[in-house]
Amino acid sequence: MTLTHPATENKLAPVPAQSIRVSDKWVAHALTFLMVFGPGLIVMEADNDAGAVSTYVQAGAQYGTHLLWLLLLLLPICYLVQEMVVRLPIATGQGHAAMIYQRFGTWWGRFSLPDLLLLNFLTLVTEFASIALVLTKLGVDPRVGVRVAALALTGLVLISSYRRWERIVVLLCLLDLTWFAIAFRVHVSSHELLQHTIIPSLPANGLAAGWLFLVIAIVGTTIAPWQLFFQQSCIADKRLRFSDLRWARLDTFVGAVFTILVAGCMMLAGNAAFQHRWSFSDPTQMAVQLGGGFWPFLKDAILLMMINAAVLGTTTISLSSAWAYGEVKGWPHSLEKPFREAPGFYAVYVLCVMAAAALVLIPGSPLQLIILSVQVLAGLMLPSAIIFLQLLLNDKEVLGERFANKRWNNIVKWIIVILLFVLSLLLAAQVAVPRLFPNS
Amino acid sequence: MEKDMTAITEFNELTLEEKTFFTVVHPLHDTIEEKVHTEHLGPMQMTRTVRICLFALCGAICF
Repeated sequence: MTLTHPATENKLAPVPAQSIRVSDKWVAHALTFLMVFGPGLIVMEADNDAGAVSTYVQAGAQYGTHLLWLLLLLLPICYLVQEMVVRLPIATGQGHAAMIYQRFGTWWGRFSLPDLLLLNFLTLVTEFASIALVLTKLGVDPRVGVRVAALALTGLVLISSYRRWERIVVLLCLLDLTWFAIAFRVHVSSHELLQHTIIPSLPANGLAAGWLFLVIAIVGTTIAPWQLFFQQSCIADKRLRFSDLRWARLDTFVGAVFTILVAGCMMLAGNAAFQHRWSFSDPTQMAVQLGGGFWPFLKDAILLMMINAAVLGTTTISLSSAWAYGEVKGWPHSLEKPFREAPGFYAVYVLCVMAAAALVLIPGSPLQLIILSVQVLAGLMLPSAIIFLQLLLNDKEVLGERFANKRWNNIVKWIIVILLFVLSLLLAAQVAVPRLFPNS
Repeated sequence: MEKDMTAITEFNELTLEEKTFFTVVHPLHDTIEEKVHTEHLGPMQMTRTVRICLFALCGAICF
């Protein structure tokens, strides 16, 4: 079944009742794209979560605009990785976790799924910790604010259909356009911007381990394991068809470009601190300094954008866990189903959100340890998830010639996989054993 | 053959306006598409590439 088909085909095949008829081919293409649009933008933009805001702002505050070239380099990498994720569910209608169990066996499945669930949960804790921190700066009691956020995030999924959830989350993604206003307000000369985006530059005092690990942290922030699981399950839930492939790829590309641009704007906000030699331990302090130094709007805008980033991260990461667990257990796992038809799926989502929020509200929670654990686990999880993905994309028994990797893009993707594999392990090792690499 | 002839007749009966229309359907409203069945395939064949990858992963986990 194709999404756009001329009336000649309509007469021969039954047309679903809820369809739109248009006479112009380009209008049909545009409408088709809008209907397919969503998972690509959401998975990319949700990756600019609370941790990412912190990493990008810190990169800007430490090195100014000197790391913008890295984002440009990451654009094709993050598109090519997520593009692989698009093909698999369109061909099989299944998520990544289910495919790992089926094609690599229970041992690798049991290695991947609990790792993913644990990593996702710890990441959720950092999202809620960020919400609590920002609310404190905004003068709101975090004990109340975190509870409200957890309830709202639960309600978003429990009372929604897939389409309603997607529309709301796309709207939240588009709120990130505020970062462009923030970047415009802190002003950087276009010459400097262009120069440091196009021409890679190294620190003036040579290559230090600290710089290298910040670069690795940015790579790790831009490509996260949950993204591979999330987009695959999301596309399967949305029931994208074979004919939707090119539009899903375009959706992913648009998402990648938007996300990289927003990340660049975050770095530019950090660059303001670099220029004024402000020191801060977290982005909320920088927001307060920016508000006093430039424009009061900036403080509230950055703080609210941080909450938005954490909310986006929370709903997508929790869903990635719920979908993955539901697939492996064989439970009904769709946002299109009401709670009574998929209780296990919704229970996992609610449990993830509520437990993470509760942990943040416990006084003296080991948040620093949790942040470190997230980085180490992500370093272990990303190589396995991405290698399984690459092997599945070469699995012609499943994908056939049409959907399997072609020779040229296979070479490019193996290079990316090996690069991410090494970088992830380096980051995990550095976080777990800081003395392993001196001067970091 | 008879089915093809019916289809051609039906197509000829369409007005010019109907012939040039396109129908756009949301994926969730469309009829469910037949996907590749993977359940019966079992585990992936242990080719040299697969072996090397899984070996590298084991090494990384142990490290």
